[in-house]
Amino acid sequence: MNSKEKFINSFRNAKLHGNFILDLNPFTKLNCAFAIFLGAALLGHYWTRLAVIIICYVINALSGKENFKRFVKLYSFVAFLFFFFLIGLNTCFRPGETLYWEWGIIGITKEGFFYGLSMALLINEICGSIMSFYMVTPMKDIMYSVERLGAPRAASYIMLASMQSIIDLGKSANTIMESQSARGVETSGNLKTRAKAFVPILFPLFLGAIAGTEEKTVAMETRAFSANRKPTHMYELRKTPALEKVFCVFLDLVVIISVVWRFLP
Amino acid sequence: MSIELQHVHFRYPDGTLANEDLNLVIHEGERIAIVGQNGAGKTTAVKLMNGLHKPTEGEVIINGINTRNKSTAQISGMVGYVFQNPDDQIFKNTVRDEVEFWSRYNKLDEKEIQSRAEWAAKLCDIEKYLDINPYEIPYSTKKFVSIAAVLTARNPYLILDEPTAGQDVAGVECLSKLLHYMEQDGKSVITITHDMEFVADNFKRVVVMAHGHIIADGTPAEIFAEESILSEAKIKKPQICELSTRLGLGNIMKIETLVNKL
Amino acid sequence: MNSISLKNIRYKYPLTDHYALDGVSFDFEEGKFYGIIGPNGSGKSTICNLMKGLIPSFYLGDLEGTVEVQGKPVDEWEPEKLCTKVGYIFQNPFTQISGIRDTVFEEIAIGLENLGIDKEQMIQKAEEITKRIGIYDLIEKNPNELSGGQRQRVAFASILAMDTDIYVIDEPTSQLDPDGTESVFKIIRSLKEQKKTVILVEHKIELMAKYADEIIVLKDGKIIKSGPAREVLSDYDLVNKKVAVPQTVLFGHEMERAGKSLGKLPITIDEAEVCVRERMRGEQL
Repeated sequence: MNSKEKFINSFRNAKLHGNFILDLNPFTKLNCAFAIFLGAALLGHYWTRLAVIIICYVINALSGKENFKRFVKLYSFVAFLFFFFLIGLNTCFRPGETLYWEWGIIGITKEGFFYGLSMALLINEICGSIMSFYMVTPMKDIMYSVERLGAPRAASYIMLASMQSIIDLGKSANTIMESQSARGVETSGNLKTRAKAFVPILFPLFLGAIAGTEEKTVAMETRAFSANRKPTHMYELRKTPALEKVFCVFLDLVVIISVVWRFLP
Repeated sequence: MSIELQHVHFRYPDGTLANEDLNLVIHEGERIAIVGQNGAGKTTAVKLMNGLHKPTEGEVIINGINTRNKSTAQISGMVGYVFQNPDDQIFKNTVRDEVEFWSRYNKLDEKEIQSRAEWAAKLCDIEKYLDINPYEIPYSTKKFVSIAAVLTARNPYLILDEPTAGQDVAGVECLSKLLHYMEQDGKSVITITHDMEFVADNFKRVVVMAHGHIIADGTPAEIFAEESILSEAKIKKPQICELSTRLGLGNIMKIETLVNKL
Repeated sequence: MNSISLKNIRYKYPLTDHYALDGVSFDFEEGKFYGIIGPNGSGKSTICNLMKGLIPSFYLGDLEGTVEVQGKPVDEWEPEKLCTKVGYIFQNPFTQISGIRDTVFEEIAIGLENLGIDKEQMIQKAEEITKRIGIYDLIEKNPNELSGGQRQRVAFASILAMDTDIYVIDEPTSQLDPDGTESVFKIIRSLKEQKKTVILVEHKIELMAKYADEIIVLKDGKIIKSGPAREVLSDYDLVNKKVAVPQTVLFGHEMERAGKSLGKLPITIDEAEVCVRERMRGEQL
């Protein structure tokens, strides 16, 4: 069988990405993400939250080199921002008892610092879990699972098409900027010049995108998008293995019990 | 005064070679058509002429000025460019505002702004649309709106990217009239087109591109006579030319000529 | 039975005060190839929208008269059933790609998925169509990264997969280069060979002349002429009305004016060649 025949044949069975993490059912991953971040949030210890952040890195690493690189780039930048601002602001401005240093309204306190640290870890672990979920779960898998549950085709279309639209919008914006510079509007140079050139095109950019949407809708109409029956799928995921379901239940129980235990008088 | 491309190469940032060793001289007032497949490098070549692309090798010199040291906006004063898709260029809420844009941006006085706008609108036959929102007018008319807007800059060189696409008979006639007017006004027009009948009817000089190179530069009769050029660039002869060739009468461009020969 | 019947159609787009179509009646017979020509703004696209059932359900506006598909008024058809009868391809190759699938193969199957066709059938159908149209080597590519001509062929494939009886095609090649145009017309020719009902709007009159059985000329929302292709295109009055006719027809007129009549007005190059040779039989060319 040549490669094209292999490609076509691959649709006859459930599609596998070839990576353990990526092949997990989207709902499994959603469940885990929620369980982990809720648990760590409610349990409140620094180390549980830190553990979640570390788990995020590990899971992304397991999901493939490309993915891991993207996650590290994006998440590290975001995490750093949160750490810097939350710890910094809280340390300097939050009132506390143990004062280390003072200058005007800035008062560096131990309580402020630890509060900031706690907040930063909380925000970062929530952020990390959500980001990781989206990184290791391709949108088309999410949409497939959602459709399988009975969501209308329009919903999945909107989600998936929006993502593509954003890419298209970027290309459009570039072309429009080129055409403006071809008319003598200065687009290179300092930020102010560039902003001056960019802002007037925002309106036609979006208008153009909307006009394009009308045609897209017509095109989708011609492909029976408004049909009332349950659609079949060319791209299908495997049935969730029993092991995954068991693991989810197990994880949920562990989290619930831990949280209840913590809040027991 | 001319646009000169001297051994110009253009490579995209990702490394793809779009144009190789382009050598071309277009004198002020000259009218040329550029033809060839999509992907042959026509659009990148004209973008080199208005400064949207800077050559990765070689020089592009417009009326004595090297484009390397100028921004696109600065070169646009000499070379006007009408994009293929008018929606990429039009951004004002009325046709009038769109056509007046260049004059206003360059702070011409009000009388001049009005007169240029009216002149351009008349030339492009869009006077009746002046107070309408561009989004409400048909695509083929929008093309003329974007042409009118660029005309007001009165550049010595004008580039039209596929002006005949989607045009009906009236639209193509309007374009012919426009080309004729520009020539009389001493302005150069460089047109990218796929319409070979339009080329045969309106141009004395045709530049053929394929695989990023210029493979031919001559009159329509010369171009259509070379089978190798036609097949390499994947272009077809106009109907009359094809007919005369099949009848063994060589390459005839005009109907009257063919009729007289028979 | 007529494929599509238009009866006394008068239509205004919303917020406009002139009629886009003003008293149009026509019966499109099954299995014939119809061409619609006319100046821009004459109502060609409006007729296409009508036949696809998009007016008045999608485009609103004021509609008088009836549109019938296979004998039944268009608003009595369930949208999903209508999709399997009337396929629609239009000008812009970029908006006909859904943007929600990352391979051409899956893109083509979208319509079949929506109709609930079972997977094995979908796979076979998609494979067969890609081979038939000549886009088999594109099946693994991302549709969002294809050229205009390639996208247009994928759009055709997606509609052909739905196996409709009637095809409404609105200026499919106006944004394409000659190569793209040729590959699209190959597809259109195969539709003609399969005796599907085709209604094509095109400016490229030479190609239209080659394939159309009948031609309808629209101007200002009215049908000003209709009939067999040869009859319509040979009418010199069209030239005065600024409707495109093939160069060979103009050539034929000039020959007549010069006293060298060809007998009939040729609408394609092949015909013109034959006519000229006939006339010049014996004489040296």
